[in-house]
Formats: sequence, C-alpha cells, structure tokens
Amino acid sequence: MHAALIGQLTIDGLLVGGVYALSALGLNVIFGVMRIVNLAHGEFVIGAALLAAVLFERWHANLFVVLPLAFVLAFGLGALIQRAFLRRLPEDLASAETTSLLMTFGLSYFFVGAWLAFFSGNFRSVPYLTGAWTIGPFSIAQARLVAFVASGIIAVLLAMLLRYTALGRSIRATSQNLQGALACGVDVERVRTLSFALGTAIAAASGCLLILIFTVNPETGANVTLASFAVIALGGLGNYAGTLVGAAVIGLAVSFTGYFATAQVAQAAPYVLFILVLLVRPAGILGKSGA
Amino acid sequence: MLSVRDLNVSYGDFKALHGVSLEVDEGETVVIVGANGAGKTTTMKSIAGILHVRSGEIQLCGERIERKSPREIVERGLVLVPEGRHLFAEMTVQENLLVGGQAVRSRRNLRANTAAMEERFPILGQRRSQAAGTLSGGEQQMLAVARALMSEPRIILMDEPSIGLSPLLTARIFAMVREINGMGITVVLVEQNVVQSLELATRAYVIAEGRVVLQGGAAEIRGHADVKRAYLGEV
Repeated sequence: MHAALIGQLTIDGLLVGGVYALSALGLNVIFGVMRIVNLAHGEFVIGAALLAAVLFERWHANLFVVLPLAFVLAFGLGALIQRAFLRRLPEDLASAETTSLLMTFGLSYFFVGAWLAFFSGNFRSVPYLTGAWTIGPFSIAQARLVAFVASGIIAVLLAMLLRYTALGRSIRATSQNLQGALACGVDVERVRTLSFALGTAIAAASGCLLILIFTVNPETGANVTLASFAVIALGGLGNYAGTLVGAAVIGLAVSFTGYFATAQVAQAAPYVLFILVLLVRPAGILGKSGA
Repeated sequence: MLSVRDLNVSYGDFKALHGVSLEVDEGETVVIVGANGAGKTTTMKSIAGILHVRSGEIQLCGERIERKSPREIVERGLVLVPEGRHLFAEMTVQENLLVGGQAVRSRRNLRANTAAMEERFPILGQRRSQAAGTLSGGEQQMLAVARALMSEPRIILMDEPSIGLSPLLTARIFAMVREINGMGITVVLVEQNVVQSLELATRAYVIAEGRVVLQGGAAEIRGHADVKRAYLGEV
C-alpha cells in the first residue's frame, strides 16, 4: 500500500512536472538568446490560462482551439514587447542586465493590472477533463495526462525547430556565442525578436495546459514565474535538457510535500529547493551552465 | 576594394582608434601588425560592423558601410574570422558551417558549399557530427575559417588566426591563407607572427596606440629599422 501511494504521488508529480517544464523552456529560450531574465513570464502564462478559462465558460471552447489561438496572440504580443521596449535598452552598458530586470518587473505589474481589468480577480479553472483512468492501483487524472502529453508534444516541436531549421540554428548560435553569430552575419535583432515571441508563445501554451490542473487568478503569475525559475535553477540556465530534470524534481517535490505536509508547504517547496540549489550547486543539478 | 578613412572608435571614454586609414585593393593580401592593445582587433571589428564607429568612413567596393549592420556587411561580401574563433561550441561542425552560410547570397548553395568545405578541410568532414568545442585548436581555427568562407566572401578579414597554435599548425594556417587568396578572395590579416605574415602579404600596415605609424610594401616594411627592432627582435 505504501509503495502504491509513493507510485501515485510520483505519477502526479511527474505529470505536473511536464507543464512546469514547458513553461520553463519558454523562459530558457528567452534567457539563452537575450540574457534577459523575464520577470513577466508568469503573467503571460496566467494571461493565457485566464483566456482559456473565459472562453471555456462562455462558449465551452475546446482546448485544441484555445491553445493555438493563445499561442499566436502571445507570439504577436511578445514580438511587440521586444520591439517596443526591450530592444531600446542600452546594449553595451554593464547595467543592461539590471535595466532589463527592472523593465520586465514593471511589465509584470502592468500585466497583473491588465488581467485584473480584463478578467477580474476571481479564481478560475477549466473543468474540461475531470475524470481519471485507473491502471492497477494507480489513478491517472485525465487533465494531468492530457496536459503532460500536450506539453511533451510542444517541447518536441520546439526541440525540432531548434535543431533542424535555419532559424533554430540561428537561435542556438546567438545563445552560444553572440560575437560569432554577429561575425557570421546572423540577423541578431530578428533572432531576438523571434526568440522573445517564441518564449512568450510557449508560456501561453503552458498556461492553457496549467489551467486544466490548477485554479488561478491574475495574481498567481508571480508563483508561476518563481516556479519556472526554480526549474531552471535546478536544471542550469540555458540548458534545455536540464530543464526537464529540474521540472521533474519540482513536480515531485510539490506532489510529495502536498501529501505528507500541507498545501501551503507544497507551495513553498519549489522556492526552498531553488534556494538550496543556488547555495549548493549554483550551476544546476547537472552542473552545467549556459550562462 | 576596401577603403577606410580617418576611423575613430571609442570604448566609453577610452579612444581606441585615432583616425586610422587603410586601403585594400582587390586580390591583395594586406597584413596589419602591431603590439597588443594597439587597435588591430578594434579596426577589424569596426570594419565588420560589430563595433560602433564614432566618425570616419568605410567603403566596400565604393559603397559606404560604416553604419551598416554586421549582417548587411556579410551580405555585401565582407566576412570576419574573429580573434578567438568564436565558434558555436555546443553545435556540431556541420551546424557551424550552416550558420556561416545563411547570407542570402550563399543560402541557395548551402549544400554544395558545405561539401566543398569538407573537401578542402577533410578533417571537418570526418568530424561533421562532433561538437565544435571538442575539436583541437588547429581544427577549430580551420572551422572558423571554413565557416566564414561559407558566406562566399569577396574579402575576408582574419584576426590572429595563428594565435595559440604550434609552429607546425601556424605554418598550415599560413598555407591556408595563401590558398584562400589564390581562390581570388582578398585577404586582410592581423598577425603576431610578423615575419611569416610579411612573407605572404603584398602590403602591410603597422598600428601603434590606435594610429597607423607605418605603411608600405611587405618587403619595405620587413626592412624597416623600427619594425626590425620592435617585432623581429633584430638590432
């Protein structure tokens, strides 16, 4: 029985971890290319989640309609923000990282306000898939499984884009060596815009999946941002494979502490891990940093 | 072909170049020598559009390029092999070549050019799927040059290609520079190996403290007393 319980908590944890992984991948693409720590990331996740909830309430809109819609809208919004704000930041100054941090911090507050105005402060969820499948002693929540599989598909598509397309090569080249990319004539400005747009769109996609599992309101964004950072800190900044490991660890931590302690402790778990990792292994569990 | 006039470049308050002027004719190999910190790399990066030029004029085949982006300059046929190579260390050898060939002018010949590079540098063909960061120093330098050639340049700027390499490898790099020039590509070379580079150059410039202090035919520079004293260890 004890083994069955541990198995169940592991399944729950890993399934949620898939969605964390997707959100963190979006953040990592942006950091890799732009060296910008995007503090407004969670707001994009939550914005899409709330949009999905409202469309479901009003029209029972299907996830497979909402997700592509949110993806496209967020892509456009991300491109716009990069062009209008982030691109104007001074590039050569030592203060550039601080400036970008302050700017995304400001954007984060702006979007919390905007979502409050659009969606009100109510907590929402999407009771779209509420059933569960039973396999032996385990119960697998449909919503979690669908969210996990969809996250996996999107992550694989992202990996293929990065590996097999000219744009993907340009994104990786710019992440790995900016001077080299400039010398090769890579259109770095275009790569930056598309990376920020892509990262934002992935955040939105993860929001549409997250709301299948959790209840959120406009002020939940900060939690998501921090959880995504915790995932990245565990996996190593700029390290895509590490992100998956980090997400699994965070998912398991939340699932186990939620059962053995309380929901409040579970909410704190990612940040405790985040701090521990920064103290003990600042380059991440896999010990490799792209920064 | 390349004409630099009265170039001034600063890093913050530090003025790195004080009115540098250079002329490079089509088909030449021009070498730039000078001590560390003299402004050689700054000159190269400014021409390639990577550094902001405060004032002065850079013309490529009669067209002003000092306000163009690095990408626009690569599109016009000028490419830089940067000091320290700046490869994409975690990408494969082949991927590095593909990124090098993304200019519009070279994009449709991507496949053919990759094959040509693998033929010219067989070691790159053998290591096609290996991460660039795992190559030896000499192999990395070859890859950096091959990556630049992928853009089908008319003029190639090479910044210290022999730095950190053994004498044997350095000799191979210089043979490669000769070959590239033989392909009809104009070469501008920044080098620490003054003797060897003057042997393959048509003309040379000596830069000190951000200024051109000496210029002329390679043989003439080779025979100049100041150069002998400062760079060749002769009295």
